[in-house]
Amino acid sequence: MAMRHGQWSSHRPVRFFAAVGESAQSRVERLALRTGLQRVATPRAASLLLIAGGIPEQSWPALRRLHDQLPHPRGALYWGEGPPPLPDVVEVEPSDTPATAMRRLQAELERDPRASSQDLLPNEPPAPWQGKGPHGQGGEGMMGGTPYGRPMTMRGDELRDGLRLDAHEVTVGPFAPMLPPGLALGLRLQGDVIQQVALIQPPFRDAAAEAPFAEALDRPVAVADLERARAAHHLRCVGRFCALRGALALAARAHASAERARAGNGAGLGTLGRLLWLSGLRPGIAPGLGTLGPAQQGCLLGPALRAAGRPDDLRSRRDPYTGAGFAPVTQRNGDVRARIDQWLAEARQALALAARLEHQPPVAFAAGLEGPAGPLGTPATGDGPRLDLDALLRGLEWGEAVSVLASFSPQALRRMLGEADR
Amino acid sequence: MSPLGALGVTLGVLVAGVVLVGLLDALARLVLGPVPLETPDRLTLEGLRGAVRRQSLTTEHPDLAAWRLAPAAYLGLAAAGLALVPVAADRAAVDVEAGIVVWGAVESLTVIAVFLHGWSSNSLLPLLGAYRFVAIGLSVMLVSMFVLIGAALPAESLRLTAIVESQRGLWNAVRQPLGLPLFLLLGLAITLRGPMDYADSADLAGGTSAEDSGAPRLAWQFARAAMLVAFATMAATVFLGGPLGPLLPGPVWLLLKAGFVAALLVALGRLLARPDASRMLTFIWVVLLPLSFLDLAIAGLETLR
Repeated sequence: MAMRHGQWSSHRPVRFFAAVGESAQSRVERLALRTGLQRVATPRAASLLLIAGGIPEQSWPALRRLHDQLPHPRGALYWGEGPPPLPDVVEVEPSDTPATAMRRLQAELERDPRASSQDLLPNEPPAPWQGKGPHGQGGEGMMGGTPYGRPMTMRGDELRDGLRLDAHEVTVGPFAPMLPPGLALGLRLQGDVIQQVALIQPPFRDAAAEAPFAEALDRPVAVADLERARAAHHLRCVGRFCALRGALALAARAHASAERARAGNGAGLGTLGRLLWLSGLRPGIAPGLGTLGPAQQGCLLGPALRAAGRPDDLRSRRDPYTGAGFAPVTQRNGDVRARIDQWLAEARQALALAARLEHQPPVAFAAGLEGPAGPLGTPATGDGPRLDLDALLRGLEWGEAVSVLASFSPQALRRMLGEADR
Repeated sequence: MSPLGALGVTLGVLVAGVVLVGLLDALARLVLGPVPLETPDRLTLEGLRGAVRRQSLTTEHPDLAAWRLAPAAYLGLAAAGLALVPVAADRAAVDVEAGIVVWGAVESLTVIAVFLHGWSSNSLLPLLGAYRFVAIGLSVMLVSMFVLIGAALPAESLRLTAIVESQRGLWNAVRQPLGLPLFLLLGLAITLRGPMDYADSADLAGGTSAEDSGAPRLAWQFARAAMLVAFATMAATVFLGGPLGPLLPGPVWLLLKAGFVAALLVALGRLLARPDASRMLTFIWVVLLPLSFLDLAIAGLETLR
């Protein structure tokens, strides 16, 4: 009987919520495409918490809160290097796939729900009561203040039409699935309009996205491999953006194209560009959305910089790219639409370069090279002005703000926010 | 039909329809490709037992009664809409004089059920989903009202069996070519799908259902699929002649046509992107609403001819 139950369980989808840490986004996405696994957007829908990649210690409290939001019976796995950030987690080697361990843990929880992972935090408010009103409020009248450490809504001027509406302060991230992994923002909202943004934590480092390029700084690598990795990176970014906008068929196509690009196959990219229009994705984005003001333009990097019309690309000064006739592609407007177009145009160009430079001997780029998120290994990296998220997102509706953030790759956003990894 | 019989038929068709919607969703995923993170999560028979056994968590100080009531209200509205649909040319589980008006009420009350679902959990992302749905839902409902009036004009009656009968010569989808496409947009809105899913979308981590777990989560998913069943049968009735057709029995024709509409909505839900909410609102008022006026004018001229 137990065996039959186990067999039946093994066919049930394993629903997991991924707490994506450093350098783990792409491998979590590849894992989620496996049959029998389903990555969900909220911990409430998950039976397993998958902690993927290194989690810096300052994010451990958020991870504990996240863990306690999964309904019982629940379990947690750690798929990363170093000591696990939570107690009592099933550890999986970074080089292994956790699929088998996840299915086994799910089956165990179904067999014995008492094995469910226990709460890590006490079920009590995060701060003592410090309100002063008679009904639980801490500010004026029935509103405002921070009773039990939680800011309550308070009326304030609305940015767009001058109405005085309730403003609500919240922290979003660092494991919110609609934001780049690691990014944590303190937001002041009126309805779904963003009134104020404070950066709490930049996105986690995504060394995996730049790994082949960082390697090329130290030793010779095949240029065709670099360009295939660049194309795959850009297409994955397009796929994430499409999924956020609900264009699931297009997202699936972009992710599949990314996998094919890794193998050097660029078939279907022209169709993908046309589908961006036909699906309504591109027309559905307001022209000019996410354009940086003149004072902010200096912090742009890589594809985002070229989407704003600046043809800055280290490849135009590096052999063998110059020999292959490389010229940077650019867009004009520097908005969200242009950044999506730029990713696609650069993916097409990268695959064409890979085909042209297929038999080129491996090359080292000790003086620096253009990575998928901007220049790598140059003295200027990380020295530019920092992106002001408040200036970029203030006045936008929630969906628009999420789209603007998704129009930068997580690693580019991290570097634009002033985190220089190399 | 006796009240008990009507209830039995409605619930039976609803459950069978929800299973069909689950299969269509799975088929769409197979054909159009999987994605690493899908919102809302899949409704599968295999997941049924797991969802029921999982703990139903609550948030801090929710309006628990309203939170639990919202899926029931959504499901109840779907069942009420389905009960109006004529399964044969002259027979419906609930055949009322103003059937098309009752369906309009179902559409409008759906806005309340979805808003209640997002508001009652006392949490940010569900509340944002609720706000957005009200803004979009009310606007697209206006479009639907004009389209439905146009569909009722040739029948010179608000009774759904009369509307079916009026299509014996020519379907409304043909003589009012704008009607069905505009009505499908309403379908995407009230079933929270694709380009009209402003309530439970990925940018809100599932929106109004972001805090749902266990059985209440399953109930919301079930209700969402049930509303698709109700909408598909209503669209088939109002625009595709419902149970009318040669050779096959009426209910089979209705099933085939409703299945076609459901498959179309499932596919559109995955193929089309969701515009920014403010852009969609402009599109509805500047483009869709005038188109619905035009549809009504075409229907009026056709009736006078």
